[in-house]
Amino acid sequence: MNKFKNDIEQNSIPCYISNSVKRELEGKIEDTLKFLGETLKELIKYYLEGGKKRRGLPLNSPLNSDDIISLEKFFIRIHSRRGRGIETLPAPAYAIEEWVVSFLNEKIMEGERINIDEFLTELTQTLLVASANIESRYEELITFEREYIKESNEVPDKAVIDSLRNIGIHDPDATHIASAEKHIATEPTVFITNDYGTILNRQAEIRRLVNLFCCDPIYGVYHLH
Amino acid sequence: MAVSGAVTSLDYNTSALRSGLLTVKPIEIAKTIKKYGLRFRQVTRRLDFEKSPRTFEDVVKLNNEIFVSKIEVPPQFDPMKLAEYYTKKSIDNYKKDTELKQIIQEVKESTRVAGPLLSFVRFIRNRFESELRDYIRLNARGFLQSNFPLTFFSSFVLSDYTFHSCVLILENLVRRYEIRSNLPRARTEFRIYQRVIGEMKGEISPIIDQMDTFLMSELCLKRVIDLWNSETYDDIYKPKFLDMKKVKHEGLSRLENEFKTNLRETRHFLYSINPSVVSTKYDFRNDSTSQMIGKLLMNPTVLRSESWQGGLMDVSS
Repeated sequence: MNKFKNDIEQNSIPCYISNSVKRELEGKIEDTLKFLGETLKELIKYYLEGGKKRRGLPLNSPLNSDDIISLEKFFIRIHSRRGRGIETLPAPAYAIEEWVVSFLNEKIMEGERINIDEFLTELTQTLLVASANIESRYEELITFEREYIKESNEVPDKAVIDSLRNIGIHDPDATHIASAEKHIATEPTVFITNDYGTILNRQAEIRRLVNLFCCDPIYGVYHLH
Repeated sequence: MAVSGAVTSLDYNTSALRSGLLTVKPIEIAKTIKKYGLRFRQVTRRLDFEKSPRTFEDVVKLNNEIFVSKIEVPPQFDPMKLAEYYTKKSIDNYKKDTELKQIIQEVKESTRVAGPLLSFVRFIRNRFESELRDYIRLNARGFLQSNFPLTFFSSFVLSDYTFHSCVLILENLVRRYEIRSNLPRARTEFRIYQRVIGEMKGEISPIIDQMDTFLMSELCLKRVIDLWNSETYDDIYKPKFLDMKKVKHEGLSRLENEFKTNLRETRHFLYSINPSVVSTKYDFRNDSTSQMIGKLLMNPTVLRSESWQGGLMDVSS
């Protein structure tokens, strides 16, 4: 996003976020953190405890490299299910795996005698700190509009939303695009997104339909000239 | 400060800030002394505390009565007895806090003007900073021993950061007034010195009022969760599993909304005073946890629970 930020600062381009995008973003953050919390509290705990039971060790015994192997078993299941077509992107699951395993490895390497409860508490602490900071950063950027983004209160045109739905762009994406479309009448507008799967691969079609260009943030400035 | 845990110093921190900063008044004491057969007039200045019509005990009692009137008290507790219980806990805890009493005494006894006030705010800040890690840990334990979502507890962490920002803002203000009260005219003319202290109090007062409202809503929310998960008075503040389902839903939503609104408003208010203190200084780029969360946000398909629940099968193999 750095290039995009520089572009809009250097060219004094107003940048807006619609209510629908705001709602989607808040929902995504909430769901992601909720999911991470539940993964830690239930699945990771379950697998670490299962590994201890299998080895006949008390649940409060210190964690070691054998416990990393227990985690490996858990993640192999996740990856293999993904391989069967339930999920196609490897990066997110791997990101959680790497985070948990690296954290445990660090503790073991430091010679810390840490049991499952303490490990989960420490991992939760890092999550709480990161999520409080994400919440605070979001607030600065979106709620308090302290930087370059302003909230747009334009009400999207229902006919535009319907026409987008007709070509297979469903909500909330259709509402996001229709909100940007309302700006065309007052100022040159582009809709920026990283969503290649639903929106950017249909760039030309959307432009023909609603006369709005959709692009990746790094190209935004060039479409306004 | 965590949901279920012992009463912490944060329970009465704004009361301490209020009594330490807002009830001070400068006084001048003139004495005639004899030295080498000559008479000299010696003038000393110090800070005294205005006599409040209400004692600390009165304020705590009133706050607890307001608290029980604002919430739906579980049937196993009597509202008046409950107010008395919380009042006694807070007063006992305050009485045990010898460090805080000592620093307030130092403010009273010092002959310097704003120096002791600055030491007082620094004391509150240092103590809070040394306890912050414990508060986060208590919240992490609270999350693991409950069925509340992670974001419920991360709001309490953000609230702790907000209190920290507030104390930093107060420290900056008091430091600025310390410099002003040491300027030559303020040093020689008592009237100007009084005015400087008055202006300082005027600037500090709305900040403490805002923090009081916000921390009260946080305290209400935490106490309600703790109460609805307690069977007897002995269970209050004790670590236990916090079951969301045990808390009356309507009351919980109302208190949670009130807390979140107050948190947002307080942060916005503090931003308007000093954005650099409140703004996030967290190093997202070099933090593996934030990077991992960032990857999940970019690829939300991983949140499909069925692909993860599969991992629960056959743990013994």
